[in-house]
Amino acid sequence: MSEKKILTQRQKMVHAFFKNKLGLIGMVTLIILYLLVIFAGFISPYNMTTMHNNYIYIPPVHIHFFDKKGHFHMVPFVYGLKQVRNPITFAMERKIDFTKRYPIHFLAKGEEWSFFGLFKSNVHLFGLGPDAKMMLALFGTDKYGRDLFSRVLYGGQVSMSVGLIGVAISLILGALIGSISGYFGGTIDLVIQRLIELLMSFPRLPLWLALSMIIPPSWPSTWVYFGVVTVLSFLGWMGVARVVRGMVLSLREREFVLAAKLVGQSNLRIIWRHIIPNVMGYLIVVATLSIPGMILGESALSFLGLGIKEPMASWGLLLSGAQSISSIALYPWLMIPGIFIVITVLAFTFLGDSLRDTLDPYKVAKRS
Amino acid sequence: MSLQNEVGTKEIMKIENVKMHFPVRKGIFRQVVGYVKAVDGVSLTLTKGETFGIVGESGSGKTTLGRVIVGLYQPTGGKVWYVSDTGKYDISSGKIPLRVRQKIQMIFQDPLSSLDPRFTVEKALREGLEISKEYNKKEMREYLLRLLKEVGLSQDYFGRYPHELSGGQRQRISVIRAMSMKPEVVVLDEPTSALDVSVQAQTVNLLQDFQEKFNLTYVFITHDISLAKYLSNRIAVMYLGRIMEMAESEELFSNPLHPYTRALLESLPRFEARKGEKGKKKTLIGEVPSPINIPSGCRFRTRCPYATEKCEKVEPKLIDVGNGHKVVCHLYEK
Amino acid sequence: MKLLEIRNLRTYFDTLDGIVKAVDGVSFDVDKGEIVAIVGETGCGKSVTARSIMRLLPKSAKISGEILLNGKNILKMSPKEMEKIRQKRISMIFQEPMTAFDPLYTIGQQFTEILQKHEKMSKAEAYEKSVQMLELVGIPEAKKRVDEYPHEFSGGMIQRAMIARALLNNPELVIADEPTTGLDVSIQAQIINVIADMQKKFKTSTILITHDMGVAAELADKIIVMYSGKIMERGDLGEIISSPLHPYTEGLIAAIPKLNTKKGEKLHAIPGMVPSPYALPKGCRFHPRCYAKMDKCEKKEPPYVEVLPGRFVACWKVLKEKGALLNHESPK
Repeated sequence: MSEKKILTQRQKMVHAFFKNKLGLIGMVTLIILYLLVIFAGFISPYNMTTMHNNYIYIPPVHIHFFDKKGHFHMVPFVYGLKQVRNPITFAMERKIDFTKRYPIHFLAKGEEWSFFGLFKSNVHLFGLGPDAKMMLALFGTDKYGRDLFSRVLYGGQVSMSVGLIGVAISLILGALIGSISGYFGGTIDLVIQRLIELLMSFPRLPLWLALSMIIPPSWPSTWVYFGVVTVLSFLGWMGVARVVRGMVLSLREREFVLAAKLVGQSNLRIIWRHIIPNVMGYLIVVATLSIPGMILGESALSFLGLGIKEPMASWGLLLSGAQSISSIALYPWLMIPGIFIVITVLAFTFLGDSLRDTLDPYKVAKRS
Repeated sequence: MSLQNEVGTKEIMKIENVKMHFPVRKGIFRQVVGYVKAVDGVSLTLTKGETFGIVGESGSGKTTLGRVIVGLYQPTGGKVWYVSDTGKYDISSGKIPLRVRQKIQMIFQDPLSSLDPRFTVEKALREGLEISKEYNKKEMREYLLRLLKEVGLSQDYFGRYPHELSGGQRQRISVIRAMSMKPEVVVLDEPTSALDVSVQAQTVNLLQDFQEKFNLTYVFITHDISLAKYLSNRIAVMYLGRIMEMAESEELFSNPLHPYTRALLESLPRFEARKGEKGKKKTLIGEVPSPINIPSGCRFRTRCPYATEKCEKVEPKLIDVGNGHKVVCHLYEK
Repeated sequence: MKLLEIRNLRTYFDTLDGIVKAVDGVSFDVDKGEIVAIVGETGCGKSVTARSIMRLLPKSAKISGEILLNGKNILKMSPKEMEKIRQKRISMIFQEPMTAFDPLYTIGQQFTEILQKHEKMSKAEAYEKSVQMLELVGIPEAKKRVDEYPHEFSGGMIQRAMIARALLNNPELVIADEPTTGLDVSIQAQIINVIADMQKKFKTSTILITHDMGVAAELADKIIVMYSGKIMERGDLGEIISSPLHPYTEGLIAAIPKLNTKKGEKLHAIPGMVPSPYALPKGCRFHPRCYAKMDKCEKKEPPYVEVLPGRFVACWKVLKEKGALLNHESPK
């Protein structure tokens, strides 16, 4: 009998995933963002902590190909700045100095950076070179004259990893507690479920705040980082645990689990070999959809000054520079980190929704 | 209540007054508000090499009884004994030595859900053998290959996933998984009801081959009375958690005593060219009551055409009418 | 009197894996007042045939051929016209009646709405009729139960209500899709009785879709045996059961243990399995499993011809034996 190769379940899922444009956009956006953030040292023209005293609060610079006279230049350039005293108010003001052009160098030499401590280099993707009397501040600078673009990239390392690590921890906690609760049932289940309900009925933000108060202010910033991750994931596992418990309850009575028991498999091995792999697809979806919550949580804590501390940076902490109406009015570019938060959160949501649709076994069955 | 049987000679399992009551919980603290009496006092003895049929409608507790027999559920009352050459083991205790555990296997109704969707055929089949550590890797493969050939499948199937198999093939894999444990007793829980008729016959024949070859004891749970008669030496008819009638297969069909058994036989589609009018089947009235609120006295009385006042008040006892034929009904009391 | 004539019906589905020919050239008639059973295993196309008649198929389905109801082709009707035909002239009994009712409305509300949509009737009249129909199908205390919600009905009772709903507008044709599957034998017998009684009372033509030859034998006047999208054999119930011609029909009947089958006697199993719809065998679709396979069977599809009066078979072996009508070729 001739047998045509039928598409496997996995091929069908891949097919369905690529048909969902929004999910694809989400995934591509995230890949780009993560690449930017991972190679922040190379891509950003400055280190995030370097203060440039002469360039405090400069707005985002414009990149030109044509000069004032309309001549085209192969290499894009920026104009310099000059200080001018306003004849009426006598205040110092910055004006663009059209007489000074600074071409943008690719693979320019600049400050030394290190790639997560693995190796060091002073070559940046682009820059104005060490001698330029101007800053290539794509997103402008802050009150210490630090380059906001560079700070956004470095800050992204924190913001975007907090989500991943936090979700990973809450997934492991949630999957484990949920499996135990569902598989063994009885009193264990009862106690765990009531505990979850108790934890979930607390308002989230005050609880975060209270827990972050525990982090001593004397801690170094990396410790604080892990402290924040712990706080976030400590309050993130309940949802996962509930879902996993429900799935385990239904899987526990599935006949392949019973069959495994009959051949002598132990309870823990059954959870590990049969139940966890079968809830995995769902866990991935839950994870993707709960990362935005973590990112927002970290931002909220840092914005309120209870999360990541200087000299580290995160998008929430960067946004805190734009806390007052006056600073928003005078230096609107300080809001740029907020745009990154929005884009990341949306991208994760799109990706998660798409994954949920593709991994939904009922939909897959319908397609087959 | 001794249940000696005439068919076999060597006792292999003894089920003594088994009860399986599942608590129904409600409220925040999940107080017990009642019990689902899925199995409510069943006693029977299995002898080596026989097929014992358990027939019943949904809600009769036959599947629960099957799971108690293999030790998947610990009964809330009564005992299940497994008698082997090495001794007598209490299956209902929940603590069963591995060697004994593997000797009592089960084949499930739904062949798709009885295989882990993420396991290849080979991985699924090896699971039990890896635990018993009887074979090394090479021997294990050869052993499984032999079994695979026995059920008419080739080596190619080792690498396949359950969704790549047909219903009949999946069921054959489940059969091998159970048989690879070299069991003594196999509980067959509606093994063919999810299959098409043509495939059903293949599976039934296969099960019979295995039984002959290894002198297996089968407990065959089904709602299909014709199939039960075809496969079984003895049959028990269950209703709401109790056995209503039990006899040798031929005897039960030629001389059904309990009104419920009779009604079931009447309800069967007559498989022959119909004479006379369509329909006009003698049927039972109503439906099976909830196993939470079992009727007083005889549990069948709400649907029984012969029910009397006595049936409402007194629970009938098991009556032996001779020939190993036993029935639970006031009609046959002397 | 022919009520329904189906000519060369083909229903194909476009799927990711290729085209599925779920129904592939099916022709049969249903006379007024008779019950025709379509019997077959999973994937034989019996349910798709039923849904093609109701035109209840997803958009990916492509239907061709003719379905004539009193001489009028249903397939050429607009969706609006079709809406008037469903329930009013052709109605359906579903396998899972619980999902066929809206859980938010009482049985009475749902019946009344259906009646008022198709019939000029006041609300009170429609309600009265609903109660009557429930009484007819044997629902005790119909006056009280008409105001209950679907979930308050047990499995057997909801199937009775489903039958009552199908007959509300006194249609000419009822399609019953596996009406007793999943029910216990004692309830199944009750439902068989209800269907038989109703058919006698209303003289409705019925197409009974079932995988259970036993249920078909209880109810049908004629039997159609389908396999992989084609009709293998069709004829009167008595003849099909007592003297099946097609090897597949023979196998189906022999595969079922009957009460008089002896223990130890091997059941007659049809070897192999139903072919994948993506890889149908060449020639006769049944040939890889057939005991009477000839060379011709592998090469050419047998025509579906009337070998005896009222007896249609698609099989080279039967054609060879019966000889007479060999020159009769099937429509291409």
